Amino acid sequence: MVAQTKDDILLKVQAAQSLSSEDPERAELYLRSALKDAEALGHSSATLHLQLAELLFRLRRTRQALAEVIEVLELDPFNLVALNLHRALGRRMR
Amino acid sequence: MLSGTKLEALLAKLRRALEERGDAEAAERLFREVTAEAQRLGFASAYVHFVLAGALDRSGKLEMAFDELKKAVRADPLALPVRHAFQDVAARLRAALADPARAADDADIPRLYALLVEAGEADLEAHLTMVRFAVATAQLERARVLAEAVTTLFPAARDGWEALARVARAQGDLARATAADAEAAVAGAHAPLFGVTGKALA
Repeated sequence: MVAQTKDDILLKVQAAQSLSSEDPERAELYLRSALKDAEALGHSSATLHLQLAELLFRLRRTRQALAEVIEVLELDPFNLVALNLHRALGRRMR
Repeated sequence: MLSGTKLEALLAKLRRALEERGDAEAAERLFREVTAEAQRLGFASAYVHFVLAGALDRSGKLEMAFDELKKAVRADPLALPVRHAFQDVAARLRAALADPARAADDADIPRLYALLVEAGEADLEAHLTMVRFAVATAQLERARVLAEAVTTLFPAARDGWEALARVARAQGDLARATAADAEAAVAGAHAPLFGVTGKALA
């Protein structure tokens, strides 16, 4: 497998961002691929997990979104955007 | 997942900092307290550095904002919003450094230049501003080293060769000045369209 660089990952994130409204399913594929590549490089990105969590929230895949937002808070418990999303997901699950 | 009273107190402080619109100094103090506490707990929060950078930028503290954005990029190098903010502030620092209204011997130049170089964000104009500063403050040797490095980094930029010719002439090195003039004559009139940023090292 060809090793992905940080720039390759950022391109995937950028592609996911521009696709997130028109084609959220494809955006999810790009984001998951970016997360996998980041993991292979030894990076844990709270922001990438948050981007995926927000996408899954919009797709109403609440449990998966919650799993991602928990990942964000593990990495950065001070991220207020993730905390707000965590609360919104909690309300949705009740 | 980190939880507990300590975290709740810090989050409350962070929310207060974000809501502190009227008193920028108070907001900055709260953000810095949260950052320090987070570090003590073993977290480098890209989010906190990012929001602190925003507050500093709004208060006109561009250099401090840049410093926080560098920390945010280090904490989460794959965060696009952080990277965009970093590029934006770097561009404004470059513009501030190369401001035509700034005197050639302005004492702020070395500090702004060092900030950009350390972050790998110095462009041709930034390097040339530093060359002009070195000449204006009688540091000809330093100016020469930088000007030589600039022509290596930007061989197609006429401004670089012209700066080198001026420095060499000021040093009495007419052979190098003439050679640099010759390069300047065949180089483009403007900086290359797709210029690179980076350290100018001899």
